[in-house]
Amino acid sequence: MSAGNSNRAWWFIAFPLAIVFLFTALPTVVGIGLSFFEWGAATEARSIGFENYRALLQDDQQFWRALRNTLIFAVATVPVTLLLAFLFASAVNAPWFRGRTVVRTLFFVPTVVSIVAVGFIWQWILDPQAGVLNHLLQSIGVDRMFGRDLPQWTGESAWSLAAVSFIQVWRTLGFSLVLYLAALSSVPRSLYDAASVDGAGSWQSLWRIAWPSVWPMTIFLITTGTIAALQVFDLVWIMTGGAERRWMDVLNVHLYREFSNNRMGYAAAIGVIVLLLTAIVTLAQLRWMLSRGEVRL
Amino acid sequence: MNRWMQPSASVRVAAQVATWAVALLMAAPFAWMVSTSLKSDAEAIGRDLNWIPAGPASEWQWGNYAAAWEQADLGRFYLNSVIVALVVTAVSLVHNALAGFAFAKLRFRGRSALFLVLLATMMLPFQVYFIFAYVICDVLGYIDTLHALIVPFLASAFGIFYMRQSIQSVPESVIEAGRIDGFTDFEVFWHIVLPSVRPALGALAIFTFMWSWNNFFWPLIVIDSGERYTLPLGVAALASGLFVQSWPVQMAAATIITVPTILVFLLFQRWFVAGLALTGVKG
Amino acid sequence: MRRSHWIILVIGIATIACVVPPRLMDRDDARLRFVVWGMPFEDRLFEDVYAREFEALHPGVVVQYEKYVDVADKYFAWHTIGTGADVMRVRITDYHGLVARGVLTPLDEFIEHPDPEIGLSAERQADFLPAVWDPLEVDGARYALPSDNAQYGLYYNKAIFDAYNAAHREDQLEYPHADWTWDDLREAAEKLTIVDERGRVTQYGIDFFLWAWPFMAFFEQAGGELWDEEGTTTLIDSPAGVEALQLIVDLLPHAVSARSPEQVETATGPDKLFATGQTAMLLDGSWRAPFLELTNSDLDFAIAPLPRGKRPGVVSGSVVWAISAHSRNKEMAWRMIRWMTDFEQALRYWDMLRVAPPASRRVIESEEFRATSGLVGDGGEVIIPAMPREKWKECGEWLLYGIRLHPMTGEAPAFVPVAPYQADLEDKIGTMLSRAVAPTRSQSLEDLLREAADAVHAIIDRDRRARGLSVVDRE
Repeated sequence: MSAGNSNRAWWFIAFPLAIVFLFTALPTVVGIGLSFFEWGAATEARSIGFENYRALLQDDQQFWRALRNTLIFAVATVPVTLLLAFLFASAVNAPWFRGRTVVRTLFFVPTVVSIVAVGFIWQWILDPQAGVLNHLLQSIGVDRMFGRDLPQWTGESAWSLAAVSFIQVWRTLGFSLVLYLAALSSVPRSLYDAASVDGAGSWQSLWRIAWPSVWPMTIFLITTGTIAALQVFDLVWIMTGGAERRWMDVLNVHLYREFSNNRMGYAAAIGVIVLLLTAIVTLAQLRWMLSRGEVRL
Repeated sequence: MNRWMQPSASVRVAAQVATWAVALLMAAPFAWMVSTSLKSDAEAIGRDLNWIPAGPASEWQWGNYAAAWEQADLGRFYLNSVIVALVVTAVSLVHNALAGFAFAKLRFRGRSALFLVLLATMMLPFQVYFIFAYVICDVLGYIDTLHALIVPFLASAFGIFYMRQSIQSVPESVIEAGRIDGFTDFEVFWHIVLPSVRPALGALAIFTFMWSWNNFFWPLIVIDSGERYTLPLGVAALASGLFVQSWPVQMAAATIITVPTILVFLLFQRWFVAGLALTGVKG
Repeated sequence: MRRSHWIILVIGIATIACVVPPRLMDRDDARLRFVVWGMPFEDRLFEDVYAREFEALHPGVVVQYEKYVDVADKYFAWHTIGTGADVMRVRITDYHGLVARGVLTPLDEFIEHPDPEIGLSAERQADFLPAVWDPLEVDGARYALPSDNAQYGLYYNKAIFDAYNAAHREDQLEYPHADWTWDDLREAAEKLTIVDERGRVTQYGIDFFLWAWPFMAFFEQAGGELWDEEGTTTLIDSPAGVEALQLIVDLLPHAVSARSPEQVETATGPDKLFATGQTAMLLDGSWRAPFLELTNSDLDFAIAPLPRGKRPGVVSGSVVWAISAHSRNKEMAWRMIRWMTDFEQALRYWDMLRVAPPASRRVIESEEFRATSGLVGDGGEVIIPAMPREKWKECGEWLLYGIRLHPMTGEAPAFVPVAPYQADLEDKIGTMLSRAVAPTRSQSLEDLLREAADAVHAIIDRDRRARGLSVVDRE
């Protein structure tokens, strides 16, 4: 390849890169800078140094709650989704499994559907008064377990975080499943054969052969899943309408609320914190991928 | 007999049943959505748990769909969503492929550095940049027009990354052959590379379309007037602004926006899944 | 080779076509941006009546009607980028915040204008209900004209009361009326609640949305003051606050139905439950009446004024008309809001929509006020039921209680809570109420009140610091 490609290459990338930088990279840089200012409607932007961060970390109780909720959410959803997806994918991948395509499709449907629809549907199902879930629980008598009243799945109770986590798992299980299926199908049969000659049962084959073989996929899913969990917004927003909840606020909802209240600099500071958390996870994955030679630059 | 291939019958049955049960659980809420949409208010709020609405099919509340369609002006929202999704998909596909090709097969100064930066932007959370993206759109006069929904997405870091990964696997020899035949870079791109990554293109097209179709928050921020609402905005507006709230009507609206998405997915699922596989394996 | 050039050309053109910004609308000097929020049928009044008729009255003027759900956010956002609406519908809770940030135009020069077609006579100024007119003055200037004054009232299901009285000959309950006290309310709520053998509530004695209003009403009735004089310290964590909160907790032992503020308009909220006959009493705003009639025309209900505590108090709200500081058509905008608040237009507001009485004493005390025509759709379907004269006593008369002087205090019971940080306070009150009625509550009511107050103070202090002001010294 001739080295004189340089100029011509720029024609290929000029427009796309311009779009990406103009609407993503540049606003991010500005956004980070914004976090050191106080800017709201009609007030001039005033530089206030780290004041936003100080207020955030020292005074803002809701921020810590939101951070806690976000982390709990990430920890609750990512491993569960992964493991379940792996198990189900293994089952679907097996040659004796009937109805592979149908099952795969069914699993994947929640992922493609609009978040607005998902929010609606689950709000309806979880409605404390008239929702199907509480009716079901009452009719099989489980409600007594909860004491006098069934929990407010979408209201002010710790159960709401559980509910949102469940919905997230429901939504993303299919995505992980399909990816695992692809990864599993490329595990060479010979590995299994060798293991079975050594006397490994199916369960052991699963964990000793299949699981390590799809490890790159697992890493990928952990990373993307954690990032998605850290950045969760749509789902919680739809379920709460943006209200401040002790147990269901997540970082990005807190941020959007501050933005709506015109505390732009403050909101940008929260955004930077989300960014930092995301960066940590991403760097960890990148490091891992580079060390394994998965990505060539 | 390979024991991995044939676990004991009880394990097989258990796995089969469990997987099918969960698969149905995935779809159950949608079935419930449709079921509710055909019930009357009282029936929906009542304490009975019926999948099938009361009475013969002719007495079901088909009117809920008409109500949802009219009240939310869904026809117009559909149109807006379709226009935006189609334009974004078509144009961004080309540009992402162009850039992906350049990163994969062309040498140029700063290629690695730029690619790293691109990767980095992929990880940026929306919430940190949307404020200024809004201001930029406003400066350009895009606010409250379909342009605001189209222009920022005419290329994307993910799309470029995805195409680059796919194009990387096109053998150098094929490209060399093209050059020897006197093709320019663009012709190599268009006539040689593109055809060989068709599955990836298809997958990216579907991803982009679905993503644009379901996009909610950016439109929420940049679109003010009802005339330019996309479908998700319209349905959300139905919920928040409406006087007489009715779960069945809302479920009907939810059905209207969900069913096409599902149908498209069913049609194109093979491409979708193939495309996903490409992403994952390459990491 | 030529073919590839064509392809490149097509790509280039398509891209440019996408990117070229749409032609900006010509800034028509005689164009008025008329921005509102509201329920869908309110378009019929704002757009079809107000906008079009004003255009007819002023040839050459074009009224551009715009409706959004989140107008307050829009107003702030527009102001930041140097633009704004000409005629703005504003909730009074947002009013002070907007004024503080300079979003609104002071209207005094128009009000005091010598030209009788432009200025407001002293008579007209006095006609505005004091509860709404007085709070609009900020540092000697006025930035809006009041449109309406929606009151909070006590809806009750007559059939449920009748059924109870029929079954309890020796223990009759009277219908709620203006002299009810908290004890009467508690008694009726308790007696009219029916719980089945499994512990589920099948009939609610009383129900209401969990947001700031019921709290503020009871708080005022217990003698409390929401804010100190400067409006930077909230006084809800006081004995009156505890009393008010305690009353709410007592009234809602089965709090599942009482909804949190964000889900205010839901399909299974207190309003819907009342409409389907499962609730004996409902505390809600005047705007709910048409909804109840539409949802269930057989519902036999009436409305009474709120009961009183130590003193009477009716929490009410208001919507006002304002003009953006960046408006380029201030005088024409002024003419429009002046016109919309005159007797005839204000009366039409009530006559058609019946969501809130206009903020004009003359209108409320007039004969025409006692019956409304409602709104009928093009296909003949009823969009807003009419209120015939016969229903006035049951469904309309209660509104007079709020605006007439009460013998106990010498003042009108209706009040409109306003303060620079009122919106934040109401937000925190809402959260506090959800926690107060939760069955799993472990904190005391005093603690909850103090927490809410502290949260509001934190916001205020943060805002003040950001604007270079000193933090408030609170004891």
